[in-house]
Amino acid sequence: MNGGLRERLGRLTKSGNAVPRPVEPVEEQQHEEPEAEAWAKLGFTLRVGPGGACFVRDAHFEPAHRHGLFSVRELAAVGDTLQRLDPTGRSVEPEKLLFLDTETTGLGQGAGNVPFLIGVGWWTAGGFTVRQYVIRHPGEEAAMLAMLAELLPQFTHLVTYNGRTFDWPLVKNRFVMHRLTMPKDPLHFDFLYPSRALWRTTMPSCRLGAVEEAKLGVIREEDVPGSLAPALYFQYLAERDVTVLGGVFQHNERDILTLLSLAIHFGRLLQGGAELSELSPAELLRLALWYERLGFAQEAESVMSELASRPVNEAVIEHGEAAQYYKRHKRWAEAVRLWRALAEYASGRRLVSLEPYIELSMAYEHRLKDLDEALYWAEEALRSAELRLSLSRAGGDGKLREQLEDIRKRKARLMRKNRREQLD
Amino acid sequence: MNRLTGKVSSMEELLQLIKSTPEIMENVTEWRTLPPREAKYSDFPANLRPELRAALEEKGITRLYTHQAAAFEAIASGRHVVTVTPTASGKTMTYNLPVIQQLLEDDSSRALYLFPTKALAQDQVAELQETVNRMGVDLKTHTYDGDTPPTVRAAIRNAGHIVVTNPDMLHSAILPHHTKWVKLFENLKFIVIDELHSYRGVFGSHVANVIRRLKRICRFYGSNPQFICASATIANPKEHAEKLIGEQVALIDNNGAPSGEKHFIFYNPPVVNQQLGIRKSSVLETRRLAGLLLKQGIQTIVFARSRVRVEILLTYLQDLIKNELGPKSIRGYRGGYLPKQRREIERGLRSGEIRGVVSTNALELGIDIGQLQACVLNGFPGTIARTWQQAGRAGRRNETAITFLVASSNPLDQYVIQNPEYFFARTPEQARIHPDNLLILLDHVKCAAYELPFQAGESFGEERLEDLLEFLVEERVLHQNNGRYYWMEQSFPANNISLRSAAQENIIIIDMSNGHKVIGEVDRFSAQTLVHEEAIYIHEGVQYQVEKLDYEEKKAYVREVDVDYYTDANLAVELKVLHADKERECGGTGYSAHYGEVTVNARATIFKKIKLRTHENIGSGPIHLPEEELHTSSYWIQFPDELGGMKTANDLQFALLGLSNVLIHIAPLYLMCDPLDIRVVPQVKAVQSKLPTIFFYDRYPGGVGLSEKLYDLHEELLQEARRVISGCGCLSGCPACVGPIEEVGLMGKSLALELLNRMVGAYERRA
Repeated sequence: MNGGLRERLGRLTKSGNAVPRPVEPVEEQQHEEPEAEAWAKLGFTLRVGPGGACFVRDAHFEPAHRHGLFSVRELAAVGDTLQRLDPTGRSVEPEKLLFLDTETTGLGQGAGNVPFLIGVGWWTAGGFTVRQYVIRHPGEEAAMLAMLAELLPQFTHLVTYNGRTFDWPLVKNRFVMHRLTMPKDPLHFDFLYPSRALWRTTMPSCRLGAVEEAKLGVIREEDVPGSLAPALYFQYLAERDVTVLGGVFQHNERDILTLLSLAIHFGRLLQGGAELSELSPAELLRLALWYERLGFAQEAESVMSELASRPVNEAVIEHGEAAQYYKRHKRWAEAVRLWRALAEYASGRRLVSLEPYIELSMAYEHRLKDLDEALYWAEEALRSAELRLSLSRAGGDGKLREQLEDIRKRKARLMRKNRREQLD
Repeated sequence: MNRLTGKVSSMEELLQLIKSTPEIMENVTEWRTLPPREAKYSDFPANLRPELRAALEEKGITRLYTHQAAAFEAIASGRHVVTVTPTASGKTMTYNLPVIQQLLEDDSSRALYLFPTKALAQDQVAELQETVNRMGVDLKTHTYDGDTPPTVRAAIRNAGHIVVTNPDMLHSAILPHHTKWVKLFENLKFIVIDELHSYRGVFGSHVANVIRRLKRICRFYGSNPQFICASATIANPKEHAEKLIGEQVALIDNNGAPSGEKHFIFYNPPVVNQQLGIRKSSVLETRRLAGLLLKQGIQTIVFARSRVRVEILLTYLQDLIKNELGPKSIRGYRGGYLPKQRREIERGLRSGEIRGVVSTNALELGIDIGQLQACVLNGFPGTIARTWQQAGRAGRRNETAITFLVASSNPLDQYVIQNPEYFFARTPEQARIHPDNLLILLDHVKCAAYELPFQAGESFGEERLEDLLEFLVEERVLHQNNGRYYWMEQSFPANNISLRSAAQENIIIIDMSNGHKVIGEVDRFSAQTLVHEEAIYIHEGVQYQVEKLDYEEKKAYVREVDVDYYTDANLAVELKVLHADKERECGGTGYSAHYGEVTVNARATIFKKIKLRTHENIGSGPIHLPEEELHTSSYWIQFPDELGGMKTANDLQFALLGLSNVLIHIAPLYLMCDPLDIRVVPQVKAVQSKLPTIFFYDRYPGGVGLSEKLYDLHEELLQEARRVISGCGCLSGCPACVGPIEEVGLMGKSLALELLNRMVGAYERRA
């Protein structure tokens, strides 16, 4: 029966060949030497830690080393501003940031997805170090994790790109898989979030590769895309030739350098270092809102005023948002100025947003206490809404009808109020 | 009788009404009255927590049924348990009591509940939560399934005391992400598996492997949970539970729950053509009986064997009582309806708003629809266990219930209806699983390796794990290092493995009558015969015609139509023997039985249009679909080349066909399986042996043990077939034995009988 098990498996799974493929016998002894040599050539040395051995490579970058627009030493100057990214407000020392990026054998958070490379980077006065831990087979994973666990307590913050949902939970899974004591959660800057906040609307993708090219001046030539990493690692496992992984190591190293550049970039933005005149209205808006959310009131203010100074026809949507910003901060004069400009811009156009009219009507009624103006803008809103409805398909859309009903009520109330006031 | 409405005012009056209706009584072949059962009680266990006791007393429960108390004791003594009791006997208490008791004693404990469907899981949580609330303690019970919002998932993983889920979710979401469930797995005390009987066949074989994986993960986290299982009545609950969970269990079957009087009525539609042995359609007779009950205001459930039958009956019944009740008060229920629709129907049945439901076996599980008053079975449900379970849907406590079994003309039905003792005296069937089906096992070895590397010396199932692991290393799915086997593939194996169906991809059905709307789905194998182009697909009583079947994209586009026919497709099957594992020859007579592996190629060829109500054939058309290939296990009967009495090849063909028809209909009696799980192919000249042969094969890749069981029963099957044919009252073949003469010819019956006589004779002489 068991003699036939292979055959049956082959047949049932249609694996193509019922005859088992001969597995090349791996002759450990003979491989050991040239293998070690190949690793050494790539800059790796075998390091022994509390959980066993794995290969480690430290790459050192001088303070003056440039990666795109920035040189690595610029990190030292932005530490105190990066602190503002942290909702707990804990102080950030540049030397206590651990940049981290992993390469894994698959996708997702399942127990079978193994990080075969954990890359980390940190800054000291002497420069920036990228350290990569690589395992030759899954049996070395525990050794790698133990070394990482030793390193972690020296740092206060992790810096990653999508690490909050991917790399860090995955690493923690691995500690569970090996029943190792889980490292305490460091504070965590995941730069995917500010990148999305700033560039979601102006860039087709917020992938790290797209961001570094567009914003950090990093151009990679001959890069091995991260998506190929698993296949290359499996090839390495089958053939034991580490040179196939050279590109993956380089890719990971560059990703970590880009994280560093991104930290510098965000740090400089938070110091008000952006050249506002070079930014588009959409970029200005995202930047101002980002400042506002992080509590940089002054910076938000100056970016908004730059935005408000741009011609309305180039920034219709952004001016609407800017007006909402001023409304939040009860800056009625600025808000009304923007809405009026939008309303003016809209006159004579069809299918414009009703928002400026309604906002103006509300602002004049409740804040500026000018009932005539309020009534005027309510009527404008009504006119515009009716036009819109007449243009929409028979039956119209329900939301518009609701809006129309609200405007009618508003108008009626304003007329009553107005009459009463005149009677008084 | 209520003079104003003309409706009966009690079940007793209804029984009288039926007894005084000669048109019904002349077709009743058996009327069994099962006496009411008194409740048997035990006192609360002495160590029952006071909060728990108080909560029960508040609900009016002052003692337990005997089986509930026995289960509590057995669990307290640390044993794995399986409880077997009929529908509506308070079986949920057999597991809820010990689980809540444990949680009250140790708040860090955890329990995992498994139900075969999401609907059952949700029912259960509602009931549990109610009990827990009455106690005023902080025990968190949650369902974890595809509907659970992502925002609450983390909370459930860390803090849920009782996690209620289904095997599919366990397989594809929980086990592969076990590192997120450390709290649960470290503290898991109980695993509750309800509806144990539903885990049989292919599905059960998968689930047994999921449980192997679950136990492996528990061992990893250092827990050793106790299993508490509950099952409807089957012949082998203990054996089945042990095979499913791979542990010794204690059997609790001293049912103490009371029940009302039950009337079980066998109804055989009258013969309309004596010569051809054709009886009046069971569908029409079901319509008549169910119509009578519904018109009398009796809440009734009708079970039909196929989806198509359900829809046809639904159409008929809605039409029949449209003057008494609105169309919304009679509903259909089957797989392929969307979940929201099903929940609405279940609610309507519980509230009494829905007066009648026509269902496939989808409602035989413990989905809470309350208890109905009457049940009509359109055709024998295939097994004794199923029949009891479906009939159990009727019967409110202390109230008389009535069940009609309406026989169709197929041989199995006729056999049962003419041999009432077979049904009433025989124990129900066994539930059978085959967890070591090589394909199923291999799938789960992959999943298990993904979850946790295998170590040399570990075992998983009955086959040699090492061989499987080595095979996966060769396939470059696993990586072997230092005696450990690691998952080394980019994919997520559980995604490609479905527990429910051989064909993993379902085909969705899109109604284009008014925009695009998904109305249901079918598995790929069924798609060949159900949604080929031009097929009439019936959904909730509405007819749709399939306009386009996009086999690649797995979509069937349909449009509503109103026609007076339905469609029925033919499947052409080719078969080749790959390997014979076992064979038994009947000492030199040339008759032999075999068991082994075969390749089956199946292709839908033509479809027939069949007129509603008269069921005449009014047209046909070709079906162009790619062939489906299946490697599976098979049992085959081989006949000697020289068969005296068979003058022509035609005679032989009719004899083999007639015999196959009988055998395939009695086979499910011995295998607790869906009749569609086992197939038969008679061949006058088998491809390889060139000998007359009848093949039976499992309709699942790799086989699930059905053919093997038939091989073991070979002689008994032949005896039984002979009894059926010679005992049938028809002249020369009818649908109840060898098949209608249109199919097996005028001499079909005598030819088949002669073939059987020779063979059985040969066996007897040898014995």
